[in-house]
Amino acid sequence: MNSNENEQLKVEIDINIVVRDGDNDHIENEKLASSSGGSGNNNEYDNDDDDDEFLDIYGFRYSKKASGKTIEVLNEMAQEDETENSENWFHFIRNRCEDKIDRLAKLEHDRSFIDLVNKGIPRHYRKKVWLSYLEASSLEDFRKEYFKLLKEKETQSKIRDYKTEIKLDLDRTFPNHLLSNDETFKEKIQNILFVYSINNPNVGYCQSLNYISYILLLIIEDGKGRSFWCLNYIADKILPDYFTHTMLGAQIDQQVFNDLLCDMFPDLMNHFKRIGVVIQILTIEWFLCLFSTILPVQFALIIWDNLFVRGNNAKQILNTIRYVEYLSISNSFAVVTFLFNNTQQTSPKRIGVVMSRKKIQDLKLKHWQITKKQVKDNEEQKDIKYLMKFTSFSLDKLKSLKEEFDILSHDGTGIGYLQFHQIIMRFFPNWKDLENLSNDDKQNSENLTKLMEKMFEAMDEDNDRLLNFKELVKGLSILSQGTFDQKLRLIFKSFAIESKTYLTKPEIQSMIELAIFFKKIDTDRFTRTQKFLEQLEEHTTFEGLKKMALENTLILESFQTPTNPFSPVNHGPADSSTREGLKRRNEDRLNSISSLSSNNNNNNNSNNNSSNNNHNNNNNNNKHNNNNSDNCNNNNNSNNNSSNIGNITSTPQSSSSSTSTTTPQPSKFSTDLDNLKKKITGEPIIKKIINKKTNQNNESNSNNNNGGKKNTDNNDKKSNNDNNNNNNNNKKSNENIEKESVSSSTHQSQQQQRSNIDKDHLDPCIIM
Amino acid sequence: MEEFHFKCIVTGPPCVGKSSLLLQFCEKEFSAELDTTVGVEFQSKTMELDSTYKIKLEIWDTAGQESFRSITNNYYRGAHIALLVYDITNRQSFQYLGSWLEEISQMSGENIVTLLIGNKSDHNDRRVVKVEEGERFARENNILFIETSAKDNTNVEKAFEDATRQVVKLIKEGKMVVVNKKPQTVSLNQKEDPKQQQQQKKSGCC
Repeated sequence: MNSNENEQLKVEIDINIVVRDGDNDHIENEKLASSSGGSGNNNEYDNDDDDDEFLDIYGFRYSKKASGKTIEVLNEMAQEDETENSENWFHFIRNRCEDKIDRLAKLEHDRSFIDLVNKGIPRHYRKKVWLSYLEASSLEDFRKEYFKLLKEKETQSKIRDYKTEIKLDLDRTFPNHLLSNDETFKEKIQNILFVYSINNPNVGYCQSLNYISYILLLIIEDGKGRSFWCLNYIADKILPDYFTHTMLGAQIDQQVFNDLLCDMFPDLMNHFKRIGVVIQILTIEWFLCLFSTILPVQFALIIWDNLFVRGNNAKQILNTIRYVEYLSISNSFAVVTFLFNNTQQTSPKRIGVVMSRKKIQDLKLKHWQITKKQVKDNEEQKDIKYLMKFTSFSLDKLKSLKEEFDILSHDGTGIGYLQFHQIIMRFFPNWKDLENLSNDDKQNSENLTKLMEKMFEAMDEDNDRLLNFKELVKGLSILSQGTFDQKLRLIFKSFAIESKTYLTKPEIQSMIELAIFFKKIDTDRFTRTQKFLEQLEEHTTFEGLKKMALENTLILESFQTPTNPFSPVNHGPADSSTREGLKRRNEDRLNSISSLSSNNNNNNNSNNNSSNNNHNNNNNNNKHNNNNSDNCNNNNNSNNNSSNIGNITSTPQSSSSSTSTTTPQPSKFSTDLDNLKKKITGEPIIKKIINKKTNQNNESNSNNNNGGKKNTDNNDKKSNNDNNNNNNNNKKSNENIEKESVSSSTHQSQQQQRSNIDKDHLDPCIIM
Repeated sequence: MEEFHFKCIVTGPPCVGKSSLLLQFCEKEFSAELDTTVGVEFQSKTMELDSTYKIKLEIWDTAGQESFRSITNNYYRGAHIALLVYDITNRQSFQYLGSWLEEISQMSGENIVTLLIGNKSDHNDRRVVKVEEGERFARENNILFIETSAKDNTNVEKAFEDATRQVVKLIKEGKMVVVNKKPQTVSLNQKEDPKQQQQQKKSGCC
């Protein structure tokens, strides 16, 4: 026990020495002597160790039995590091840099410097050299920034939390190291990885980063968070695309490595092939963890030194590996030795010939193309398989969506908000209508943008500010054909910013405000909203929201479905359900809820019971009431007429809607019935189409013609109902037109036809 | 004795004890200090089943973390057995098993024999996933189920036996075809080659 404690103490002291050295700009003679003396003691101590354990100079434990020869080499190396190598470095720095270690930073092309680096950087220079090559030494206020980041990030709860995942891994990162059980040390790594995962949402936390951070922290730890920036530099610049979710960079490098091996050691590779070894299984870990798990860290650090100083160039790295091999890694790392033994047999010259910089670049390019395509195809197949299950889109539809997505996303990875906006506007014409109508009102258009942004964020499951294909199609599917639960879940996610598990009062308030953003919030409504909010719990869970939404379908309808919040028709069923609720539930509460869903209710309606007929009456009455309550009721007829005229002249489909106006009653009745049935079975309320032409006219007339819109709404619905066949025929001709017009079409009617097609594809509920 | 050659993948969320199970099964060892698996690791073991069959198991131990899926998925192909492991003391590891199952069926054939393993049964005091829950999930998805402890070697052998027995049964019924052409395997017969044994040693050490 006692000896163990001593060990720990020693290593901590030793690390401190390294830290102290690194902080000084000038390395002086005495310091060098003192630090090497300290390490010398350490080695001495190791030899005294009676246990079966050997402790190397960085604090890694080795079983003496299992790694006998390795230990000898480690000792040898440690001594060389402290004596010969250190002296060489010391003289080099004195002569070339006038004792200023900073000046080493630009010497990566200097032959004699590279020769020095080949053998590794002595421990007491390492930190300084790393920092300058990883571009972390020059910035002064790192400390502030990193810790500010850390503090900030801890409060952001919406972002996926990798903390537990990281914590689990830290218990099994270098379990043979002394500090692996040290809670403060572990916490430092955890913080670094945590901040990194949030700063790089496309990477998040990737296993193997834990090993890299561990060693970085071991070497660079200075309480200033610099190791965090080193990690950033490594992941961004030295190993780009290594830790992303496809690991493209790492996969490419495996292939390049494989090719190089085939070129250089054909016998070896043939042998591997014969016995069925897939070399990538071994090498992926070498590359991802930068050899830190496969070699004793003392060796791996030499590779790191070279990698950082020379940059990412496989030729140089392999040269270094040869040096490490030269130190004979011994039998416990059998495969590595085995590989390197073969290296020796082939003349080193040959490596120089085969591994020109150009060759490696060519290979990289080649495999970049192959691997990227492979990875992309795999992902695509998986996505489509998944989406076929999750959505009811057909394979063809998915493929055409994918094509469009690829065009919009440039590199096929994801689309930003602007493209998302474009797609939504194209697929859901009702939203487009909203946008057109809201253009003149700053408040409304702001609200619409806010809502779209919220939805974008909710769909963006991995929080990388981009929607990938899967996320987009899932979102579109939920919007157009999702179940009640799915849609509500999306709304919940859109607004639950503070926590993923509940909505706060202000969040609900903003939800309600957005839900009714097209209705003018008069003072009366405002106070009723306030009243409603007051009686809410501090936190509303999803279940709570669901209950709320069941009582008040406006919540659902206004957001996720491509229905028009304008349309009072939607409010009918909502009212009827709240009316029903009135009987059963607390009157006060209900009043305030229903006040949110519609302006006025006729008291007579409240007498209606739950039979279908009554419901329909209820609906009709409500609509009527709404009409009366709407300011623009007067515009009603004239709007209606003008829109119909417009329709007749533009497309055949809209002419069908105008004919339907002559026979309104029966179809209206049946649609309402359907409405209700849908509602009862928990299905989404039927979405209504607002005819584009109508909107055009509406726009030209005024922004507030709710009543007119409502009527045309009904008409459209009826027309869809009555003229199903007609529509289907039209669809065919529309599709033809679409083919010709492609995406560049700016003509209004063409756009309309296009959107109609999309609606038909996306939204089976439209044609009722 | 009839000989078979099966490919088996071990998969499941991170930190549920996949590597420990393998270590226990292949080396009869347990270590609390195992490193995280980066990428894929490989083991092979020959076992006897009911003293009538000799079965060579080629076991691929995959990294549990999401980022590794695009790499580990390559190794699912042609597998006969999938061991899907969760941790009975960790609710989260049980929660998303559905997506893992989907992954398995997507990346391998439909015929794969899947065995759900609730590991760490020695920690009964910290148990959060009930035996019945595991059983129910397995029943609903028509897969096998067992609880094991890699630490005190409970049911580890049995898990592998159960899975192989099921595969043998399917083969006997003609529902599964095994191509023993060893496409990606280390042949155990090539004794003249010492390097290849080193190879196996290597995969054993981490």
